[in-house]
Amino acid sequence: MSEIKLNLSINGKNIKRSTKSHYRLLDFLREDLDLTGTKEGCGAGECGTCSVFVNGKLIKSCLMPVAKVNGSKIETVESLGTPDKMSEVQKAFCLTGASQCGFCIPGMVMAATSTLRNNPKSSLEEIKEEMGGNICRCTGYQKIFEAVEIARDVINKKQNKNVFDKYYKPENSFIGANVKRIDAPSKVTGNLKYAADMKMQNMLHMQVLRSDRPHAKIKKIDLSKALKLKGVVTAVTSDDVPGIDNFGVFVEDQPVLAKNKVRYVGEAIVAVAAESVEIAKEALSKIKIIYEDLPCLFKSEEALKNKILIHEDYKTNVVKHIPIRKGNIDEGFAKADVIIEDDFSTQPVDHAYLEPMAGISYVDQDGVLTIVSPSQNITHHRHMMAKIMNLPIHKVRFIMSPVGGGFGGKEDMIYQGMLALLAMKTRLPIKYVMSREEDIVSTAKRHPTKTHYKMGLLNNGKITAVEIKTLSDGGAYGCSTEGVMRKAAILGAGPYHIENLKMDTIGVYTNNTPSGAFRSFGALQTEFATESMMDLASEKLNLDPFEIRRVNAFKKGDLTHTKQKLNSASINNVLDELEKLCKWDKGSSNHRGEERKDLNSSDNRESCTLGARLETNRSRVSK
Amino acid sequence: MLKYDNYYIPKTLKEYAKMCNSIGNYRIVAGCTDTMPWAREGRAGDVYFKNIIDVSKIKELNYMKFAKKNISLGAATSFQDIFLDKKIRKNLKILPQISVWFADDQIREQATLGGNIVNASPAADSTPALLSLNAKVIIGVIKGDKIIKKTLTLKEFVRGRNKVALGKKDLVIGFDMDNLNDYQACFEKVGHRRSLVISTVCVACVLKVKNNKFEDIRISVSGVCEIPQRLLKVEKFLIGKQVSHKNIFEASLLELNVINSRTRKDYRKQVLQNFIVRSILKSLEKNTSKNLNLNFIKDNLEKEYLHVRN
Repeated sequence: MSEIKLNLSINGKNIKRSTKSHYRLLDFLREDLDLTGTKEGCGAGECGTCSVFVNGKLIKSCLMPVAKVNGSKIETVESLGTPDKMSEVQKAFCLTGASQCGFCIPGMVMAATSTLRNNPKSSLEEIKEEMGGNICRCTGYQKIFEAVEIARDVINKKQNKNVFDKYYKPENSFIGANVKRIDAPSKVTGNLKYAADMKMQNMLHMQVLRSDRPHAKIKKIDLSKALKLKGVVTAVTSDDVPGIDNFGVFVEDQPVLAKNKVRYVGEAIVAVAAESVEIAKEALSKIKIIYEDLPCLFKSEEALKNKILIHEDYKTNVVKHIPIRKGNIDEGFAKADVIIEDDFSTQPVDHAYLEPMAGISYVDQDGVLTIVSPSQNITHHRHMMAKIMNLPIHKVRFIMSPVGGGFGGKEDMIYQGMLALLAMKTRLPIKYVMSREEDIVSTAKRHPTKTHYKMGLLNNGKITAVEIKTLSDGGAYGCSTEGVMRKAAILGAGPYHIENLKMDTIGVYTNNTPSGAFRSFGALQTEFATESMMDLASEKLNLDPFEIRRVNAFKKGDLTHTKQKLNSASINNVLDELEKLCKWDKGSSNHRGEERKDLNSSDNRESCTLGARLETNRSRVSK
Repeated sequence: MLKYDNYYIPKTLKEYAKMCNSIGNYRIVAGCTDTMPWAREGRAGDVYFKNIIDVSKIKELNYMKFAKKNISLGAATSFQDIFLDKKIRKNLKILPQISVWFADDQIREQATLGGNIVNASPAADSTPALLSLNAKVIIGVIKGDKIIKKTLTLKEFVRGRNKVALGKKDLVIGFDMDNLNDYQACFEKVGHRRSLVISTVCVACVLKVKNNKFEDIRISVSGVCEIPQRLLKVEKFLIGKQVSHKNIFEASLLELNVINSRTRKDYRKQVLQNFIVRSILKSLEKNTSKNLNLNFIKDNLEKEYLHVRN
């Protein structure tokens, strides 16, 4: 591999050394200099986790060949401060709690620093504009903007420095108290090591060959050419699994690597371990797979017919059906003044945590298989792994690395099995970092759903009966589908007292990307339908949307959809408070003209605006 | 992953000519902000070139020249420079407006005007703006050690989707365009995310009004057809005519058949019409002439035709 000689300044130090000629500035900082505060979230210039200064200008280091910045002055987040000596921006981020998972935060701190360097008196609009290239998935940006404004005011001496010590000490309750985040300094300085930031001696790198077929038999896997490549240590397939090669959160239907057939595009087939990522990738291109394509299932309605089976052992494509019955819907609908019927569908959604999947595995000095990964469910993973690897439970250890955002996406065990196989086979540490593209293709998504909804109501808005049928596409493997179906059924009809209810949630196998756990876990899709129905009903009955919800809201003593008696219910308090705070413009959902009256007042939110904010950046023109 | 053995950064055109004559298997890059994401899974995948030639530091590609009638910008001018330069803001009002919609501050530091034009994306932002500025492309044709300068109109230069009139070794040196300091301008764009947005529809409008009549108007579109283009029928209809709600509305309907996208045609049609009207109105807003009663025009448009206020 060819090399390039570099001579540049990094964080005030002159650095002269050789590196791989094709490295991006990001690779050079992380791999050669171990400056891992600069993260890789997407590798395509979209997310801003890799922002650094080059000759004083903030750029995205994933788009910058290192050769291009030879001779330049580079500043990374490490140059801004350390946990015991933070910059104003970093202190402000700690104060407002603008660091949840923390993965985007070094980049955010860099963008905030750049904004205030360019114009120490930046307005809020200017701050928003200049930080537009950085994405945060956790905070909703509010805390970040608050932090930058506080830092700006302290820098301009409009606010006293001691604002940074103003954490509210909890007296009686922690609720509503601004408690100091003890992990914030490590995050805002880029000190915290996520799985991809870790290195071990003699570590090998794993890359995974994935299926480009949605449904096919694997006739042959030819590894011979790949294994001959210099720097390739070994490769594993389904044949290398020593124990029970089935795992899953609810249904144990998933092999570590595709066994005999592939069930979705992106399914892992071969995992290669090599001395570098580049070699491991090259090895993948030399593996030959012979497939025999099978008929595919992409629509959940088709799956119900069971003409094509995704898992032959089960004789049906239904992963889980949860039926809920309460009262008598026929009687309920007979009583209704109006009946509304509609269909709703939702799409698959990626979790888009800023930290792509990553992990390190090794066998320790006592022969304990150890997996370090940002798993949201290590205890369960450990139990599954013991079975897969045919090891006693005390020979398997899981260490949870900092999770750079999960939202449910890191609950399923997706790549840890491959890491384990290679660590056991080579007895060397194995590292794996997914690219953003690989992560999107291979990991579980939010269930796409189709819901048919029928609701009967009296003229005063009171619901007399509800019938809901939701069909969810679970994709190729069970993952969390069963749990998601349960939550969808239990919560989907909303926080409303409904005498007569018939609800069915069905999750099926298809050849689509598996669906799994995702924040709100099934309730979102069905509640989206329920709340849409409430608004449609408000239009039809000419009732205020708050009113129609109040009429139906759970009260103390009501029975839930699953007939649990409620000892308390706060939905009406929430509605009252909400209505007051948002200065609600009363009336049915469709009574407004083109403009809402409840926006843009002094203590209320502004309406959404579009458009280029050319004027706000005026202060920097022709510096 | 983009892999290469050598990364060359020539400092002069002469050096560049020598280089591309002596080395084989190379790819030319400038800002790299399109090349790097291109060499990834789902697009080009892993790509290998023996050599990369980075032309962004060639001194003959880095210039800004302001004359009374003409303005010239080097191909390596970054979008952030275009965005923040005072003279550009005054004389080429449309260009900073393109820039503020172009990716984000960090990518604008790297991305070059030449790169955006050479990519010849149907959704390019700067192409419609340069069309409205009657820009000409200065090309360096490499013949042996010699560099012959050639001038093409933008229409001659952009030949199709990702196709431009450039020989393998040739490169774009810069652009000559009209100095429109007495014009008003407006750029309208819609896409998915505020930063890093790829245009679904965009419209670049520059205009000049005298005695309540359109003395000149140039409207270009991108994102809706294979090659960004001028709406000549709309322009012809309006030039010399009274600035009135009726004329603006009628003009907006004349060339909606320019839309040749694969998806969401009806949506684009509606947006395009709105953008034509809105870009004219917004340009007029910057006109200081007291005779122009813009509110009257807007009221009438609202009343009779369509929603034009944000």
